[in-house]
Amino acid sequence: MAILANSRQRVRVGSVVRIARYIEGKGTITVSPGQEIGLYDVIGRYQKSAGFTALKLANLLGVSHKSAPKFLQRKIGEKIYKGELLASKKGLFGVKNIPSPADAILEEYNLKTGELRLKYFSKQDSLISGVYGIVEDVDKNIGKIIIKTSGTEVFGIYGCGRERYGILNVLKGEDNLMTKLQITTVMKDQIVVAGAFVHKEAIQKAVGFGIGAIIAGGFGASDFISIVGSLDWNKRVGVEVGVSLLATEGFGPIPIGVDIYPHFQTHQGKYVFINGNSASMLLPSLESDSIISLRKIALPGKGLIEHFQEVLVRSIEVEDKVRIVGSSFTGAQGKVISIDKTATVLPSGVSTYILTVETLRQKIRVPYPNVEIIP
Amino acid sequence: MPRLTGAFDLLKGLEQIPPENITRWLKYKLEPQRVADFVANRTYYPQTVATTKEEMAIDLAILRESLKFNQDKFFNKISKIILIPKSFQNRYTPLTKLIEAFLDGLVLEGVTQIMVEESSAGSTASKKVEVGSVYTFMAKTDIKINLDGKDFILGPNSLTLFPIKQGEKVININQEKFTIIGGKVGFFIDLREKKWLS
Repeated sequence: MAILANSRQRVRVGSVVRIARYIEGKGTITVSPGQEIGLYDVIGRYQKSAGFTALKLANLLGVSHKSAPKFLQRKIGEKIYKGELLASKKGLFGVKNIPSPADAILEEYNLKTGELRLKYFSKQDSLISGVYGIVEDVDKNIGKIIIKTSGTEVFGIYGCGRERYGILNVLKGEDNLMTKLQITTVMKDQIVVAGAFVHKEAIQKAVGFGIGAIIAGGFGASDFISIVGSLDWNKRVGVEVGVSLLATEGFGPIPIGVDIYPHFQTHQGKYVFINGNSASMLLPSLESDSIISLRKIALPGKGLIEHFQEVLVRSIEVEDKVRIVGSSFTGAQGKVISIDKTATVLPSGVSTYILTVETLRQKIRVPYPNVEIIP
Repeated sequence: MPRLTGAFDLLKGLEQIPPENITRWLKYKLEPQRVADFVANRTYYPQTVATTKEEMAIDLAILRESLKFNQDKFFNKISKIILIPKSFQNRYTPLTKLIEAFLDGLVLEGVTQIMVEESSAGSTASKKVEVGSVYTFMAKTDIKINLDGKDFILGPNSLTLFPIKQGEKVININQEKFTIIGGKVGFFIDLREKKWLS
C-alpha cells in the first residue's frame, strides 16, 4: 500500500533567475545591457538622504522657546559643518557656545518645542551588484537594473514583507532564541538569521533600527498575527511592517533545518535577496565561474519570474529524506529506514502507519502524516 | 498545486479563536502562546495527526471552538442533521468524544440526528450512516425520562448518553413523547446551558 506525503522543496541549488536592483532617489546607472558584473561591482550611484537630528536649542541655551532663534549664528536654510558655532549666548558668568553636532543644514526651528531640526547632508553612495551576473535591461527613468544571475533559492514556510537585499548576518546557533538585546545598530539594512525564534520585542526593535529582514525557524503565532494581521497569505500579502520576516519551519521555537542552515553559514557576510511575501530567498552564487554558465542560459520573456515553492504529493519510500512537521520532534530531519506494514493505534487513539526515521542523533518512530518529504 | 490536506483544512477562522477559549477545555495548564503556535502549525500542516492523548485533547478543543465559525458546514438547520465528514473520524478519536465536541460547539434545539460519512464498499463515493441523535433542552430543574419502561432523573446542566444501538424508540421526557433514533453511538440528552457559546 502506498502511503502519501507532501514533498516540499526547501532548497534549490543552481537556479538561474532574474533580479531587479533599484537606485534609491536621484542617481545614475553605471552599467548597460549585456555587461557582465561581479559581486562587488558598482552598478549605480545615488544621493542618499542621511536623515536629521533635533537639538533642544532653547533648553541648551537656557532661554524661552520664543527667544532662542536670535542666538543662532546661522540662518535657517544655511549649511553648517560639525564643530562650527551653531548658537552663542552671553551671560553674567561668561559665554555659552553650542557647536554643531554634525555636517547639516538648519532646516527649521519649532517655537512650540524649542527644538532646532538639523538635516544631515545627503551623501553620495554606490549601488553594489551583490551578484555575479549579466545585465539584461536598464530603465534609467525609474533607476531599475535587471540582472540575470544564479544562486541557491531557499523556501520558507511563511513570511511577510516586500523584497529586500542586504548583507547576511548569521547569529550564533540555529537554535538561538533572539531577544531585543541581540539587536544592534550594526544590523541596519542587514538580513539577519536569528535562529530558532524571535521575540516580538526584538522584531519591534529591529523595525526601529532599520534592519532589512529577520529569518528564524519560527515566530510566535500571536506575535506574527499582531504584526502582519493574519495567518492567511491572501490577507497579509502586501502588508509592509518595515522589516521582512521569513520562517523556515513553522510556529514557535524550532531550530532552522539542517538542510538550510549550512547555506546561510556559507553566505555569512555576503549579499542576499529575500522576498517575505513569497517566503523565499536567493543566496547568489559566490563562484565567479557562474558567469560562464549564465552566458549559455536564456531565460524566457523579459520580466521577473516569481519563484514559489513546489509542493507535490507522492508516496513515501525507504531512504527518503523527511522532515517532521507534527507537534513532537518538529523540524527534525532524517532518513526513512523502515515503514510498518500494519497500522498502529497511537496513544491519541489515531490508527495510522508508523515510519522509523533516523536523524543525526537518534531513531524516531513517527506517524506518516506527520512528515513531509524533502526532495 | 496538489498537496495533502486534512481535517483542519475544513475549519476556517482558526486564528480568530482566543487561546484561552481552547485551554478552558483542557485538564492541564498550557501557555496561551503555545496554544496559538499549535493552532497555527495545524493550519499550515493540516494533514498532521495527534500522537498523544494531550494533543488529541487540544485538537478536540480547537474543533469545539472552531464550530462557532463553521456551524453551517456540519449542521443543516432545516433537516436538523449533524453530518460528520469522513476525514474527521480517524483524525479525532474515539467517535463518542468527536460527537461530544460537536454537541459542545453547535447551537442546537430539540431533536437532532447525527450522521457520519463513511466509505461505500467498492466505490469512491461516501454514504451517510446514522450513528445516533441528541435531544437538546436547557433545563433549569431535574427532568424525568422514561425509556423502555425505566425511569431516569437527569439533573440540569448535564449531558447523558443512552447507548441505544439501533432503530427508532419513543422516549417520554417530562410527560412529552419524542421519537428518537439510535445508532452506533446512541442517544444523547443535552440539558446544558452552554454559556461558552454566548
